[in-house]
Amino acid sequence: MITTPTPPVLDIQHLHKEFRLRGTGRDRVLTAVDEVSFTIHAGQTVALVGESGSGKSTIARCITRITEPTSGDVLVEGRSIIKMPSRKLIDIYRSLQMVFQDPNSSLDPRKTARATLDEPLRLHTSLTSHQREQRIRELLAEVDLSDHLIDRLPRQLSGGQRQRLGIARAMAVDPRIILLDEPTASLDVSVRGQIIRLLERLQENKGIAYLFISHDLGVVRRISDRVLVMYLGTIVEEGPTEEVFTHPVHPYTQSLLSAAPLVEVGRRRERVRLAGEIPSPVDLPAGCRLVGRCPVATTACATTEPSLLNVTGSHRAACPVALDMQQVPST
Amino acid sequence: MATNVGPIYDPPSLAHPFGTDRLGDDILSRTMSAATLDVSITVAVVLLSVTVGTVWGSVAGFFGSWFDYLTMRILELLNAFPSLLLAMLVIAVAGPGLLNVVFVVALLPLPDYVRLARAEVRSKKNWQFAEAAKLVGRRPVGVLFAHLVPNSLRPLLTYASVNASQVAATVGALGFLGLGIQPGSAEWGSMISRGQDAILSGQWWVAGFPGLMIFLLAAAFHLISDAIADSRDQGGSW
Repeated sequence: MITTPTPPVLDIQHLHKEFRLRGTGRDRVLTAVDEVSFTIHAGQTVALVGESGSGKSTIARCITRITEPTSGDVLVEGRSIIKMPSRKLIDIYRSLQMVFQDPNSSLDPRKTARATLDEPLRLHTSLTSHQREQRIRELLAEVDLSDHLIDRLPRQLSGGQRQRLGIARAMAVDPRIILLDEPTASLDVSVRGQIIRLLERLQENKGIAYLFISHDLGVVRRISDRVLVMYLGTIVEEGPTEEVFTHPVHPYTQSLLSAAPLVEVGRRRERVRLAGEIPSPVDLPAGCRLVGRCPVATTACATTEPSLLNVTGSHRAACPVALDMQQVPST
Repeated sequence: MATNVGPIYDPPSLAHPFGTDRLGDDILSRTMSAATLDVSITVAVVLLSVTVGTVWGSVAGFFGSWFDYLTMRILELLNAFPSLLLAMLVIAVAGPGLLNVVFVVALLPLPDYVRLARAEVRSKKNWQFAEAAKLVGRRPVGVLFAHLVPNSLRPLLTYASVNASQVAATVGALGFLGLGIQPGSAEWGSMISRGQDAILSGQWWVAGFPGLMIFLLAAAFHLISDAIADSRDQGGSW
């Protein structure tokens, strides 16, 4: 599951996104995503977790080129999409789709369920209108929407039904990978579980890979194979889900997990508290981004930016101090 | 048009409910005949203006850059002229005639439609359904005309129904000034013009009834716009 010999369906290489903020005097630079690299293999679910403002959604927007990344590369099934002219992107969107956070704004308010699903079929396939109609009904059935909703407008559907329609739209072209940008964040708790079960079932049936962006750690632990923990635009820790959840190394991950009420950590753990708020991503200082809030920071942390270091296997963390502390008791 | 069907300057009566004018023409039948002309000119003007304005404004708002800049400068230029004066000027040069009137009067509200469409599209182009449409495989022009423009139509149509009453009055004004369609043909504005001297000598009905018609047409368009606004409040499909 973790390492497969086939090439990854999604390969992110040194993805970097800066926004220039015009102001009086010099322009300032907001670094939203800083040199992020990771891969996702077929049928795998990789979760991207972190606070609001850590750059999770910007990564998804850069991968789809809704937002143009500043530098770096994105390979979808081995094809680089960054230098691709935008009119060629339609081929990429046959393999790469996205489910948006808020189905209220990501569905066209004037298009019925049928029209919403017909659009990708018309643009991506050469099916006849009769075949498309059949496929639309199949898609509705796949996401547990009953046939009689086919002529409803988004505002005539419930929140959960809207998100099912959003998922059906992403599934319409049979993609290899779907980016899920907090797909349950805008839904009632009672509906969340249904949507998660639906996503799990679709993955089992079709072998789709997911990039699951969320701050709901309970759901992340349940459905993802790997977890990437983001803080201020960088990945501070990554590894197999259970490994990261049971043995978090980076102080930021520890604090994130200990702050989550739903996560059973298995053993009694001290609540790890970070001082202060998440700092501004504008004009980032040298050194570790967590340095002002970190309980284990040393003077070296303020000057050198830590890179990801191996913990065990594919579990890596960007904190040399915490790694040293881990290794002391084991030797 | 039947002429000299009755005595001249006959006050409203059962035979001539709106009276007759100085040529003895029946005002009611001229008013009714003019209605076809005035209503169709008004509708043609509004349709032309709203169509051109929506396409122009939405393209400018969506693609921005130099085209948007040029658009805004042209609109400022158009707005710098008093509108009726501009219309008179153009007709004086181009000559009267049905089509010229339609084109010229359509030019007057055009900046409003362009601005409105541009603002609507600009405010919606970063909405997620526009981004989702891109992922669905729409090219930018498709995103604009299949998703953004249909979602921008309601304020444009609401404005169009208000604007239609102004257009009806402008068409009347041009007719009054003798700059409308062929002089002598039945049109409310030119009928008022024909009756203006009669008001002073007491024959109010010659100019009064065509004037009332312009008022009623304008009021009717306002009622339509109220109905559109009501359907929006009730969450109608548009």
